[in-house]
Formats: sequence, C-alpha cells, structure tokens
Amino acid sequence: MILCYNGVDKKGAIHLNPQFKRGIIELCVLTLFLEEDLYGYLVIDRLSEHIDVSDNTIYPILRRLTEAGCFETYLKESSEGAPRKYYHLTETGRKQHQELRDEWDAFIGGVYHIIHQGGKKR
Amino acid sequence: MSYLDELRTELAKRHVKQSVIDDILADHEDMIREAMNEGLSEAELNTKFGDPSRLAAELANSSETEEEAKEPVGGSWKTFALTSPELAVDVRLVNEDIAVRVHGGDELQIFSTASEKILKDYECDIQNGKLTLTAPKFKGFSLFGPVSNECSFEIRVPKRILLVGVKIATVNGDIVGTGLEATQCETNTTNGDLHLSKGLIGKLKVNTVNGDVRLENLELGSYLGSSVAADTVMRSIKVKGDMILNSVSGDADIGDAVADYAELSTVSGDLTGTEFYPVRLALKSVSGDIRIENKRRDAVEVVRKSTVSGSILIGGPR
Repeated sequence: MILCYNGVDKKGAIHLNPQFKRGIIELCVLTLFLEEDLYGYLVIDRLSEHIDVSDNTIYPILRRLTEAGCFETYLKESSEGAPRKYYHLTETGRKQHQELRDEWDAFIGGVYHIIHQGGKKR
Repeated sequence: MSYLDELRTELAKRHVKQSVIDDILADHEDMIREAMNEGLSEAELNTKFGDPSRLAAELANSSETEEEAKEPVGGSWKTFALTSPELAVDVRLVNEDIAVRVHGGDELQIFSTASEKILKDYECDIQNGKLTLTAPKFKGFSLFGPVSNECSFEIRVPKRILLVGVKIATVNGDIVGTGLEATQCETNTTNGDLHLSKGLIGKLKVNTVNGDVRLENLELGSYLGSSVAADTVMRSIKVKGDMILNSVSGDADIGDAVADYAELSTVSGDLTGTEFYPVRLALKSVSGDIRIENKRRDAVEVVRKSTVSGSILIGGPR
C-alpha cells in the first residue's frame, strides 16, 4: 500500500494506487450483477473468497455505486425471516460496467503485450 | 465491543452525518445477521466485512461528513484584491468557528454568519501581506469575560496564493482547513475541534486541550502535535521529516501514514497505528497502551520504546 505514496501530486491526490485497485473491485462488484439481483451479504461473501477484505472493504464500493445510480434497491421477503435488501443493476450501472471492462481489457492487453515481448517466460 | 458498536463509534469519530451512519448500520445489521445464519462468529466478521476502523475510514472518505459545506457559510462580508502571490494569515477568535478553504477566484473572500452590527467590532484587514481577523475580546483584557459570539467565519483564499504563515487561535470555536497550501501553519485551541484535510503544509504545529484533531490526506514537511485530553485521528498522512505527537490523556489513531521519524508520547492515552510506516519510530507511554499493526512488519525500525504500566504491541494483523 505504501507504494501509492509515490503518486502524490501537489493537490494531495495521494491514492493513485488504491484508486486503481478500487476500480478493479468496482468492476468485480458490477460483474456479479450482470445476470441476477443480489443482496449485500451475498456480494461480500462471493468477493471475499478472492479479495482480501482487510485491504479492500467491499461495502463502501457497493454503497458508492448505489449513490452514483448504478443500482436500485428493493426489499424482498426471504425464507429465513426478515426481508432482504436486494440490489438491481440499472442502465447506468451496465454502462459503468462496460466502461470499466473496456479499460481493464485495454490495460491487461497492454501489460501482456509488454511482458510477452521477450518471447518466452523467464 | 460488538462489530456494530465499533463501526458506529468509528463512523461518529470521523464526523459522518448521523443519517448516513444510521443507514450504514441498518445495512450491516442485515448483513451480519445473514453472516451469522451462515455460521460465522462475531470474531470472524472482520474477515468478511473488514476491520471496522478501516471500513469506517473508507466510508467517511466517500460520504458526506458534517463539517463539509460546499456553499460558504453565511453572507459575504469582505473581499480583498491581492497583489502579492504570498499571504500570511493571523486569526484570533473565541467562540467563533473558522474555516479556511481555497477557491478558483482571484480575490480573497470572507464570509460570516454574524450580523453587520456584530461584525463591526471585529478587526479584519490585510496589511504588509498579512491578513488579520481578530475577535473584539483580544483588543483588551476584560474582567467580565469575553463577549461571546456564536458565529462562523469562512475565509476563501485564491488557489494561486501561497500561504506563508497561517496562525489560527480559538478558545471554543472549531477550526477547519481544506486544500491549504502553506509553508507554515499553527493552530491553537482549547475546546474547539480541528479538521485539516487535503493540504500541503511545510511545518504544521497543532496545540489543543480538549478539542479533537482530525487530519486527513495531508502532505507535511513536519508535524508537531500536542494535546491534553483531545483525541487525534490521522488518515493518509505523509510527513517528509519528523512527526512528533504528545498527548496526556487523549487517544491517537493513525492510519496510512509515513514519516521519516515519528515520536509518539502519551501519559494515559492509548495510541493505535495501522499501516503506519515511519522509517524510525520512538514510543513512550506511562499507562497508555500502544498498538501498531502493519502488514510489513519489519519496515519500521523501533529506535526506542518505553512504558511504565501500559502495553506496547507491534505486529501484523494476523
């Protein structure tokens, strides 16, 4: 995490690296919703299998995306008792996903291009 | 303390709006119930939701906090055209809140919630490259105590101006500074809170008795903080030189910070550091507990540590 401080600019935008990571997690969160609506715990549970939450908390991202209009929420009764708050991906959310996905593909494509330049893996 | 209580405390500490806190807690109550239905224990919640202080810090970063005001407080009071690219600031107030922010305009603007009648007793002028704003009380000593004005001031400084020396003193008023670029800054307050964010400050000196201190997203040349009973919270702080913090009974919570040398001393306050990487670190406590949790355990050289009856723990999260 400390490496991010190399990216400090004069106006104090210190979080270059975390911002990049946040974008990736945003992409992961949005991707989960392409096929189905999910409730909060399910999102966290699925992502925490792959992402270290001590470093990247997921709820703030879900919350911010909701505030940005990427999700609509509704309550639905569950068999376990209390109704659950479900998140549904909106048109804005789908667009946001597409943009992030394109960025990611371009980035990762560039990285592969560079690391494969030597030909073989060393 | 339960996860929810801890989250509530951490959010409140960061001045997140009450309505936002309620909303976040309601969501977590639901999610924690689901987690427990799945068989997770209270102790395992951190592994799904993250550490409460870290979670709160991220939420506070993207949520509306109480002292954040987009519109200037009060009506426009004075404007000054600035000829020099540098400006010194000297503010001495009693019960009034004061905010200093930057703006894109060309003039220095001062806003206030007080009426004209009250404002005429304040001294406010720019002379020899120095802005002074002084409450009536400071003109002379009064046996009958200060005239109390519960109002707010906001100074908006043009972005192009470099602040060469900022001195702000209040007794009970809160101090807010956002986006400041200053060679030196010194704040003194007895009961007022201090909140500095997103700034680039050469030498920062903070003195407080009871008012809490919150510093975030700052790049500093050096930091000297002294507090009696006030709590200090630091987030995303980069100090090129020394970071010195002295506290009597106030707690300090430092997260995401670097410094060349850090010296933390406390009598009975507790000190917590997370992802806190001074190159060299000196710790001193009488009865307060000190706990540093870093992922990279050996990145900090502890040059001195001593305690009488407190505990000092330096380790990683797992």
